Amino acid sequence: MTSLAIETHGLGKRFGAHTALESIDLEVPRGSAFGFLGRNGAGKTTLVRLLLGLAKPTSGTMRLLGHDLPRDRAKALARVGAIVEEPRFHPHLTGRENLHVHAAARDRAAHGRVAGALERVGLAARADDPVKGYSLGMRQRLGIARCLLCDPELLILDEPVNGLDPAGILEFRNLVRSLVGEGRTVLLSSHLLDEVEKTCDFAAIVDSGRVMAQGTIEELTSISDERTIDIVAAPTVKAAGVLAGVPAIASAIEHDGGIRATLAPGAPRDADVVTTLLRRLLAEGIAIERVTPVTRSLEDQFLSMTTRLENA
Amino acid sequence: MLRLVEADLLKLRRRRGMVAVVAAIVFGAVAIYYGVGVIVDAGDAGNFDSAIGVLALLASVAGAVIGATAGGADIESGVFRDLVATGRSRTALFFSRVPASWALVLGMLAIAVAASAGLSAVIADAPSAGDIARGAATVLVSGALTAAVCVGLAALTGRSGPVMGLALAFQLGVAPLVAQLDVLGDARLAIPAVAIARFDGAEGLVASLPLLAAIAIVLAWAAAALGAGLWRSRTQEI
Repeated sequence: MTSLAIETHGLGKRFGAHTALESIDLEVPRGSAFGFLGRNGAGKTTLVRLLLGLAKPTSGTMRLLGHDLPRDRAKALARVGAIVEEPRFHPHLTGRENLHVHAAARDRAAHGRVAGALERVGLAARADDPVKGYSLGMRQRLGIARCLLCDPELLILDEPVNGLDPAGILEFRNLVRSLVGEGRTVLLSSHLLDEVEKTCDFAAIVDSGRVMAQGTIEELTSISDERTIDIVAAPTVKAAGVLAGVPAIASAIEHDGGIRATLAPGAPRDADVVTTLLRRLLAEGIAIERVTPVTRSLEDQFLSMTTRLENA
Repeated sequence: MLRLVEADLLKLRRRRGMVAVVAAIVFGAVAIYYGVGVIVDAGDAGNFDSAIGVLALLASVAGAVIGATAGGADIESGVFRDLVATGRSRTALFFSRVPASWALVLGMLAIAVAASAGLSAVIADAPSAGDIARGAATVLVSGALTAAVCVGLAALTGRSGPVMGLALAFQLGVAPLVAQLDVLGDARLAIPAVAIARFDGAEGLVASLPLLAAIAIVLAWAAAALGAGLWRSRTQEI
């Protein structure tokens, strides 16, 4: 059994003159939550549609759970649950009936999983109401329940928290983690950076149909070689002046009631720099309240990558 | 495949409004035909052949409404994409709609034909077994063909409403008019309603049409529409 749940090489999709996906090389490890991160129109849904056989690629290869696509599509998708954009249902049927309709397209055991799936997403009490009366959040949860009918090895969820309230988002996050805890793989396509950072182990950043970077969340947030330190000291103006004179500091600007110091390229490791800075500040009679290394978030990384691309 | 058919039948049965309207049209027509016959007490009141003529027309209405709904429901609701994403063959997903629509349409029509035969026996002369068989074949083929054609066209266009309207306009308006155009000669035999009339041993134009040719014409219409719907279902990007 391959260690990758999803593997694509040079995957491309064109719609006439428009290139939706340029050349996607993606490796999603089994048993992980993987965020596929990009702005609206970046190509996330197109990739999901290709993986599910809803559209044909114009170039490249795909493997899902070790099966080649599109050749072994039926085998590959038998253990894949998916939500593509907003989950759709027959509005005149109840939630339970909609799941049975979907189960009819799955293996025979899927019908036996309907009640458990409804219970797991917290819809058991409303399962016999027509779906036309469901809120968007309830339909999202019913969509997750539908994914569970095939006892999935892989879940592909496209913008799954759209329409969920904060409590629903928290529940969803816990659900994803519990699914991963059971050994399943979750591909989470989203434009919500914070959500991916909190939920996923790995991520890929896609922009204009290209994967800009992929790896663990830690790897992605530490890609930049720019190091920054926040210092709260008094008097602030004097402290900023002192720091600006230190060779290891490229810039020192007032920021949020303190000073944000960006280290020069080639500066020594953080511990040595901080020791030097503190000695200089104390020698000048400056009181130091706090020194904090600035950690880049996935959002910072995402914005710097996509902005760089726009400016290229 | 059987579970897919059951699922499609469930989707249709749960459209209670649609089922009620179609049932009202089919059974209401039988009730009105025999009710009026009893009240008026005309010479041919309760005539089974006349009842079959009315039912054959209404069979196409029932087939159009239910067939178009069955053919377009998954696409219009957006569920087709999720069903395809299960890995299930698009061909199976498409063809399961045909027997599901037939089960509903033909079920109602069979009851209506049986009721007509019974009422004719009470009110007028009892139809022979041959009359009943020919009448049933005419009504059921009319309903089955219209339903199959509408399943195909609704899948082709992704819209059930316009297909329903088009089928009804053709069956109730265009086809009877075209059938009267002598200038078209034997080409009129290709009209589905004309070919189906051959099953009931109709006289006039269709009398010259061999039964096998009539069957071939009906099958050709069904194959063309279902083929178009299948092609669209298999090739469309969703």
